[in-house]
Amino acid sequence: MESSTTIRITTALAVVILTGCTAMAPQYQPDFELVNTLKDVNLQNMQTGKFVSADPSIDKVTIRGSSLVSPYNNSYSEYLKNALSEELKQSALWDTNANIVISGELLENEMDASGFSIGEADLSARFLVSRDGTEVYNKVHTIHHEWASSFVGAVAIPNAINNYPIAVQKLIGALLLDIDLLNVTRVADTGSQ
Amino acid sequence: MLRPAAVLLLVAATLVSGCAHKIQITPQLEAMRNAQVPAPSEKNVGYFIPAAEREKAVITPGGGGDKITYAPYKQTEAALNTILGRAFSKVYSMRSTNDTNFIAEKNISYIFTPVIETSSSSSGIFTWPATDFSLKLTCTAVDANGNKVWNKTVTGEGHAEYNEFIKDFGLSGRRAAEAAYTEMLMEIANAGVF
Repeated sequence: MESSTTIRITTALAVVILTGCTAMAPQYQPDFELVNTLKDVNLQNMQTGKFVSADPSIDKVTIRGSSLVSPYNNSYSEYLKNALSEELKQSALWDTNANIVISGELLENEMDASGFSIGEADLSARFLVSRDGTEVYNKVHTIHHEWASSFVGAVAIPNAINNYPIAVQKLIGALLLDIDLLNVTRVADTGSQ
Repeated sequence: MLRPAAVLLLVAATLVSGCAHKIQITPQLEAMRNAQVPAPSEKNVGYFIPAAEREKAVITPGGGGDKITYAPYKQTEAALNTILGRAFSKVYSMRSTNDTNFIAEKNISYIFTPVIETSSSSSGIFTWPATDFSLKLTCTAVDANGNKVWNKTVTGEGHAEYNEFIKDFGLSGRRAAEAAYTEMLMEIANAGVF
């Protein structure tokens, strides 16, 4: 009898503890150090175009059995697009009529919280920039991000979730501070005397 | 000697109880971006959020005896940058209020410092998200010499029902933050002292 009760309780606990659940990725928070920098480099206004995921698996992020879902139509390429748009808006570089359009393809979107002390994210995306429809920039940026993790899932999972936007910040920073991008988006010096 | 069932219950209690649930209170910014306000001042401004405040997690009541936790300064910094950007030419995040080199280099005329106080509650006894949230926002502006030129306090209230917050656990907080920062934008834009 006692054995039967123990099995039932064990099963119930296993269900409670191990059942995979779904969490929503946090809304993107802009990097205001990057915003400060972008306000002073005299760039032309931009907008974002089409962002796609290279593979359906890109949009399936799992953290210790729990799914982390993008709040933008379950699409992480849409998450990246919204994050980039927000960074440009906070930097006063956004214009829905701008002739410079940044598009992208999310190539890698890996979150690994299996480690007991370190969590890791690896993100990679190809960014295409066009001016009046002509491609002026085409480059892949890749970032690696680490954070403190834990053996305890109740700590490790929230830490991983909260670090996804920071990983995206790093990817966007890699793009927006790339000298090649700055060169093609900088306001032309008219050289007037 | 504890029986196996008692051990399992103890483990369950340890794992399940005692945590505050993390939420996000970052508001939607479109209302602030589209608000009808006077043309922005040509002056540049800065804002200062102490590093400790930016990372500080606040814990307030949720529902069913549980608590919620969030970082009010970090999660609403975009709203502060947005409303100041509607009222002034350029807005800079500052690491201190007395960095005279930074103030001179960026031609900063005023420095804004926010103070945020929050409270929350819930009418639900079986769900942990807060159904009601209040965000009291005080902004103080000093000039480049540190002299206080303006101060205002506003309070935003947010409410969310179960069928709304089931998709967004911080919804009442987002709504309170949006209300507070939108009202603060109107106060700054119409202050007449900048």
